[in-house]
Amino acid sequence: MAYEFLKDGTPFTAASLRTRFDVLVSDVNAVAADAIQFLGLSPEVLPSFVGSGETVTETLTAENTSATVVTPSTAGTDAAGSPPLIDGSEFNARLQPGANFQAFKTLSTTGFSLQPRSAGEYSLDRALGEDEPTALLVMANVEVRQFEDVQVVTLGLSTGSFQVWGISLNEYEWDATVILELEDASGTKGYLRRTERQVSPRVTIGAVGNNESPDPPVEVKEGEDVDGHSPPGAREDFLLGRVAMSPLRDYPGHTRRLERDFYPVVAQFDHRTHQDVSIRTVITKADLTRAVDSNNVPVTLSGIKHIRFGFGSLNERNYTVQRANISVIPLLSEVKVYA
Amino acid sequence: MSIISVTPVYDGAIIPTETINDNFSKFAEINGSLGALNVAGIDEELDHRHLQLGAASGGTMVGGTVNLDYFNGIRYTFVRTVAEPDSSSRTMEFYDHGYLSFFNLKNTQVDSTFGGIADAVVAGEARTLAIPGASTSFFVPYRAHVLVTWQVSWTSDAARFGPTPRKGQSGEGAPDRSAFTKPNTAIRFFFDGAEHNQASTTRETREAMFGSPMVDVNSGQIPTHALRDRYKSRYWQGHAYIGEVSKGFHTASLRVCAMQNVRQTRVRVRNIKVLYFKA
Repeated sequence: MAYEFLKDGTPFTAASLRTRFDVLVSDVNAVAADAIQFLGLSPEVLPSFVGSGETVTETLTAENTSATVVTPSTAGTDAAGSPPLIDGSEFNARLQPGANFQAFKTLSTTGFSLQPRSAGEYSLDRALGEDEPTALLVMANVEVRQFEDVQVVTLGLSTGSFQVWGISLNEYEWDATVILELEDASGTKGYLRRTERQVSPRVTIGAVGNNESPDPPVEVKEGEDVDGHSPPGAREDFLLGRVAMSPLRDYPGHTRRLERDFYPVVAQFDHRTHQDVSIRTVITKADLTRAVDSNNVPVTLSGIKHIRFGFGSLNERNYTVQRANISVIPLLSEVKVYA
Repeated sequence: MSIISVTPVYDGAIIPTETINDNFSKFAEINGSLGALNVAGIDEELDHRHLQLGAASGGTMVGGTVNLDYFNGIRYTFVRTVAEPDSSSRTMEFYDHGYLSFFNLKNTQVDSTFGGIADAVVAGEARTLAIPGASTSFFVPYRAHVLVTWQVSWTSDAARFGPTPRKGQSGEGAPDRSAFTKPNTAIRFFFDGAEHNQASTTRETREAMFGSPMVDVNSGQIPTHALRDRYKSRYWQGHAYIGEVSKGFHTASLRVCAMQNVRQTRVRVRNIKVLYFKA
């Protein structure tokens, strides 16, 4: 900011005073870059870099309610929630052309879907104005509660009156696959493949029965005889074969007296997984052309209006989810990606 | 109003000195009142080099590396019974052994850390224990959006004991799953001393540690209980968006709780991080 000092012998006129004012006004109203001292901007002079807050209301997080949660104290009562079921038999998590299944299931349930802006969408386009966020910091968590359709498997019918029991959960044959689905204001949807996460049941590989056959287990019908099985004739249908997973609970699932205490139930085993899936990512404008649809065809989104969990299973397994939250921090600052 | 407009003065015109004074006074805008309009032409030239450290955002982190064990009911031991009809049932009974018996101590503090808790998820806030390395107090220098993230893993020896509950008066019917006990442990998130969202920012585990071989064909007897599994600890890389908080000190913590039958819960903390962005 240049100011012309008064000098003795030099006329001090109204015009010279006006000129001095004009120079200062110009310099203040349009500050030059070199007038900003490095590390000179303090919190007092800086705006918020989060959201716009100018024209629309923003909701930056969505968290599930007790409506989707079952806890031991509520299980079996009317107060229990209803964990959403993901039917992996219909949603196979495969983003590929001609898939006979849908790829991912989405939910509108609170906590599983977030619409950050009350109106419009995030275009992530800096050119549209200084109020427009250019990046979204996204954090998402969801709890996979349990895999469904787990079956009890029997082994060792030839080992006398003792039985070996297990469950059919298997690390490499069961999975829950989670991804983020983005949707723009026009309803176009796309998936960001880098946000895909998977969890397996994570139950212990059985120390007993894991190397037995048949594998996969075969069904024995009620009344059928099995070699080495005494007394003959199964009392009810059951699976015979490899016990991939040991029981992890302390309730006996077997007994010496086969004729009286027959098969255990899945609930006697530690079949619940209660695993967390976390997704962290930063979405920029470039990502609007990186998304793909269910046929793995690139789609172009005009912006982001909704962010949702997409659920599926590559092994077409069914499972339930119950606790979830999605948060978005819209950033006004430009995010640069350096090679 | 960060844009200045002064009253022009001209030769030959008579203006009061108040006008000149007002013109000078308007430059007081440079004392902290400059705004986006003043830098609109150069805003894309401003970057992190111009910002004071922590001027727009900040954060803090604490962490830990040790195993944290939370004991409960350690004077109870597993006992195998040979009661018919369930010959392999195990129970949990009180035993007076160990050095405490010399002092006739029947009730130690750790014996009742989680005494009376039927469900770790919904137990009262006062029954939860803040986890060192996953709890922090911090100062927010301005009104800010606060985001908290954490990484923690834990496991427990939660197990169900006793004969299998069965349907029917004689107890010889099919297993009655509704009567099964449901031991659990939970990690819950608190901010400024209050639970954030019990339904959402909570994670629990059920049985997570015990594995027992099913049969001992050589001896013809059910083998002893075996603690052998290490794979089933749970990992939670969680987060919570708190919202806008006021300038000042705040606290964030993960807290552990367990059902009363759980004798040991082992927590391995990685860290808890607080990120804040100027609001």
